Amino acid sequence: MSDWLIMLKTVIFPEFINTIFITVGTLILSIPLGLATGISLTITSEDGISSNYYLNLLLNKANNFLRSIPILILIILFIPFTRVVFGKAYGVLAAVLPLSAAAGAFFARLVEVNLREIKPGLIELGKALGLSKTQIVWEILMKESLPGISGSVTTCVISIIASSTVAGAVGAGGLGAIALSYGYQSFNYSILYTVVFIIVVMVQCVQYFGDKIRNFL
Amino acid sequence: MGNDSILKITTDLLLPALGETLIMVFISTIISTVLSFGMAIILIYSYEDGLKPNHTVYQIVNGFCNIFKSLPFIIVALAVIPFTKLIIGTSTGYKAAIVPLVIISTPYLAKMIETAFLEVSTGLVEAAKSMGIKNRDIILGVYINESLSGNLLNVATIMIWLVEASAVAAAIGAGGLGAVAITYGYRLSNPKIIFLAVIVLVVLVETIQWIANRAYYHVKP
Repeated sequence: MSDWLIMLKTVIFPEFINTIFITVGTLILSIPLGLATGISLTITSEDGISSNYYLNLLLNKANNFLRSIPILILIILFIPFTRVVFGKAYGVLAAVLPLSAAAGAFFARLVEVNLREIKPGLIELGKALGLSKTQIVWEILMKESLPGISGSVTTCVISIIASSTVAGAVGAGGLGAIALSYGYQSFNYSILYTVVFIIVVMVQCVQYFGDKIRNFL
Repeated sequence: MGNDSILKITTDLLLPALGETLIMVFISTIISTVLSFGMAIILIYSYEDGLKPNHTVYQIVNGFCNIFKSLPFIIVALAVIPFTKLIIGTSTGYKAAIVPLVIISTPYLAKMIETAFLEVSTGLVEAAKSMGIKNRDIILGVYINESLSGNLLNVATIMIWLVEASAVAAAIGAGGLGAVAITYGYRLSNPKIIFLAVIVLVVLVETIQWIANRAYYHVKP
């Protein structure tokens, strides 16, 4: 068996699983978080169904602040916090927290854009029919924007894959860490380009199936 | 360094790092804006309802953009190291980081500019065509002119994104504020320096966005 095959089996495959693990873990945390924030941003806005100036301002500022910190620095900033929660600041699990914060903030903006595209007439109709605010959110906002939001989930997954590779640079493991340690630190180009190839395929698969699901909805 | 006063940290460490980040971001933005306008013009020329439809050219450029714009920056930066060495002579330092930054931001910006071009009303383009205006002048006078305000925001978006990417580039030896964060925040666990670096970055991003918004309302028809 050649070196490359051994490396594929012993190094690349376990880290591929780690990348999947980070991505799925981050998705589980960030999608509900981002959805809730996105909905709150929309309904508390000036022309929203329960407008609240201060809450909206707070959410907007917090979101902008989170999104203007580069992910690499956000991960480093989260280290003390991660250490309190998980007892350590490296490894797969530790990466999930800062990545979720970043992905949640990003997803919230995407959700907000989707919700803004809903015709105001529909919400007026809901109000005229006597629907409660909760019903308007679930029956009108969510149902109408479902295809758009599913497209946003795809975008979000791709951005999480990208940020998980960055997390590899500060101790998270995953394919990014492999690319750095084998490609950059020991100049093993066959490992590096194998990792590049796997990530290209991963991203294209996510995009392909994301588009399929969106069209289905 | 960690026990020094905030003023000393700022002048000795953060300002030079900010300078490197600014150079990386500005030069990458300029080069990638020029290149992506070129690519967007090729796309708008060759797409099926375009000025000179050409399926093959469109598919090649479009496919290239779609693959590159969704790749993680760090992976691209590592993959193009041989190419960077060929052009710059080295693969470390802030000058070398400009190569991968341009490579990854150009397809992204090109697709955004293409979207802005496609939002230009087709009626306007048809009117220009029926008046016998040359294709080159349609691109300059109609597409670029009409989409100017939108593209201004697109360039600002890419610039903010480059601030983020340039921080990541520090993981492969690029310098700048990201390198300060990695060295002092991650390896030496110095909270003071990393918080100062975050403040500088947030101010930088907010400033770029603020200038872009002002310019947007200025050029908006």
